Amino acid sequence: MNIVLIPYTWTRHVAPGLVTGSVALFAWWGWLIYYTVLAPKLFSMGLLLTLPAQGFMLLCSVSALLAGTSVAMEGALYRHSVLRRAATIVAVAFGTFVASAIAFGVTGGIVGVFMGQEMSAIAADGSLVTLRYRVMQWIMVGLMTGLGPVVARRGAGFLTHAFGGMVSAGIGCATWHYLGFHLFQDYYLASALGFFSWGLFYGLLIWAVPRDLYAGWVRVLSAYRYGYRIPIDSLQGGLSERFVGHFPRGLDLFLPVERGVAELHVSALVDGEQNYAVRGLSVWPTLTRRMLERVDLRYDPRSPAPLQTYLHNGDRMVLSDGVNETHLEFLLLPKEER
Amino acid sequence: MRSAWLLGLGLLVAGCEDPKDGLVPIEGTTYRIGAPAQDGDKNEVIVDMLRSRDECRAKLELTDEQAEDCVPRFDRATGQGRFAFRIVDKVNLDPLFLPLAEENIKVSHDNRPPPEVRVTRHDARPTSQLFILLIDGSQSMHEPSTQEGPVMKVYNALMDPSVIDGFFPKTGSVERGVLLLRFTDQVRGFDGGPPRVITSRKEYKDVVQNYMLAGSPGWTHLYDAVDFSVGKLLEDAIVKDWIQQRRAEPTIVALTDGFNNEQSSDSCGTNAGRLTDTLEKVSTARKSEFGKRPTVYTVGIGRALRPGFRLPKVAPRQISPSMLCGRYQDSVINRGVELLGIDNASLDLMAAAGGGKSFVKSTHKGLASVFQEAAAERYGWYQVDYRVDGFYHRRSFDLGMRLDAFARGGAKVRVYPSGWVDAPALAPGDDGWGKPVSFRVTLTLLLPLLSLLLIGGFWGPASYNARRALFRRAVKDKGGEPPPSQTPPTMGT
Repeated sequence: MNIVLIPYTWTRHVAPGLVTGSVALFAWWGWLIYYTVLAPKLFSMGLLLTLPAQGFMLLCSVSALLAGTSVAMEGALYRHSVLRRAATIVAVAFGTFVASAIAFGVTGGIVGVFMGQEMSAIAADGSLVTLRYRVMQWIMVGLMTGLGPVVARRGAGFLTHAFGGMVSAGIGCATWHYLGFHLFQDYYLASALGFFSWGLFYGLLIWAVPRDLYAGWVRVLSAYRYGYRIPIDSLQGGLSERFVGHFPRGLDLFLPVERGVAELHVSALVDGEQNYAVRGLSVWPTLTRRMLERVDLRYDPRSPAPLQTYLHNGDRMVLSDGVNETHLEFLLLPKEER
Repeated sequence: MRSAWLLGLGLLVAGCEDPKDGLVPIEGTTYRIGAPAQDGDKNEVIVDMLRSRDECRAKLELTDEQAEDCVPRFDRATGQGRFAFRIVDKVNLDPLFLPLAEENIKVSHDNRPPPEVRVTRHDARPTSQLFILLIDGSQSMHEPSTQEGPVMKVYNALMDPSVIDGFFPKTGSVERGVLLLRFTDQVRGFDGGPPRVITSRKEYKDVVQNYMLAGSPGWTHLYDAVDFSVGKLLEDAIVKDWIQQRRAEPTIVALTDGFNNEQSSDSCGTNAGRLTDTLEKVSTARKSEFGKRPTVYTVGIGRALRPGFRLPKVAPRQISPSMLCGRYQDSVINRGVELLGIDNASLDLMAAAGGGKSFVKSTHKGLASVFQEAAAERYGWYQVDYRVDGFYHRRSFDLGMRLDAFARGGAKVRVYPSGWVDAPALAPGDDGWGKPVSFRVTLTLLLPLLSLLLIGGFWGPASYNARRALFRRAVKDKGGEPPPSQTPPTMGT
């Protein structure tokens, strides 16, 4: 996973899902090879898992892989050292596997308690295809899949992880059951798409590429100095403000008065929580434009404070003296793109 | 740390199938199969259901390619199942070769017969056989004496080239013999002499042509004829020697056009006691060593008196008049009930006791097919395909099969589908039955999905860059390009 290939758009929410989806798909394929191609050889070697262990291993291994993949993506984007990455992945994957195994067993036991004696005998059949007796196992294992990476992320986004883990596993279970039981009548496509959708939604729901991997920039769109850009964030992080105007000395971005830029026209700033904003500092026309919205930031002399609005990736700022105009844009680019 | 690894490894191994008595994986599927168990009481043979390619190769001495049809296969999508079996002697565990046909093999899926079954026979082996043809010599066989008369139908059937080929194959090194016998109150050769083993096509044709239509009619002592053929005839020195020297299997085909009728006062019910004795004798003969025991086929020419007659599930010790005759138990046979039809109940009971089959045929082609079947080749192993609704593959199930002819035997095995995943479904075959697909077919699912993900991964940055390239161009200045008032300040000056 490479941050340079993930623009600050919907892509940063989708990209983890694509990776975890493919990991889940590969996991399903790996198990299919194990159970169909390698099984006869492994059986003679005493290494073929028993039938009741089949579901357990499928769910728990996919769970561990998804959790491991989630922290692996994070390590890759933050450029952690290989050793640190490997240690985190192994620890999270192992911890998630153990937690999932416990959840699988405990949930199975609880479901068993609420079954009658006759149903217990039926449900004990490892070959039984059932949603009723499996859905809780899917969801609880999904919960563990979500909570595994939370430990590595020191509790950040606990509820998102827990909720996302359960929902994604629930979607996987529903897909698996609906396709297998109602649509295709077999569990080849159903299992493939079930595990795939679990992985896909897991990546989509629990973790997006973090905002702090990006930095805000002000970039000139007008012909004069076209493409020139300045970062808003300081290297140390935290509060920072950049000024734009035609004052010849000390401003962060010089633009000529002939293009309708006042001496001190606007400033772009970022707060400690990485929220970006633009302030109008001049009585000359100052406009921020985004889709279906225009914000007039012209300074009001009757008000002591300048007007400001939050900036979103791709917002345009139009600075003008009433005749000439200069266009700027706000961009969020990966920090590595300095 | 090491102990943790050892603990993990121990748990993993504990969760694995035992290669000695665990569930055997069915290759190419996610199904598993348990150990087969013989099903039913008093089985005469062992039905050996084969569970894996290794078993097929070892027990049937097949190559990898030949074993393809022998390897079991189950598919939830089509509801199809396939297994192979062979018949093994109960005593010495030697493989037995039987001419089993589809209708002789009763398959069950969770104790219910599947709607579609196909049996494919493999490893055809011609065996030495002695065919004992018992032809009814009663007066009614010669009425009418035209081509439509029973005796002419039998004549035409016996002279049918395919029947002669069945009795005396043109190829192969096995020896076949035919005993052509006519029965009334006595059993004699067609020529009126003692029984004689015919071993050549020419001799066979001569005897049939010269003596088939001859003979002096009498009463129909069908039961006595069967008694004789399973008893004294097989003990006759010439016949016994012929059988022993060639290790031949005796196959008896008893053919009649009516009832066992020993005197004019006989009613249908009178036959019940006689039939009981005959069945006992046939059963006793069938208890001899496998391979030497006679197989009894019975054939009626005409139409069945009781077409709705069904064999009792358990072989009865005593045949009652009502069981044999139904509402005809008091009806006189001679010129009475024999005009209504053939005693198919007797024929069915004798064939069932004799391990063969019973037929009622009215044309010489039909009769020829019976003789062909009696002379059928024996097979080393059988492949059974069956189909049920895929719904019945959603939990483990019992797969059972029983033989209903030639020998008592049956087996049952439990099959375990996966509760989670399946292998790719069978592809439709030309013969209407699914055929296995290569595992590579999974790539047709995997690669498109991965491609979609890959395209999705690149679509984001590509569309973003394309959009910017289109809409984030330099904004042109209105009214030309006046010189800037100043250049940007140089930092630090």
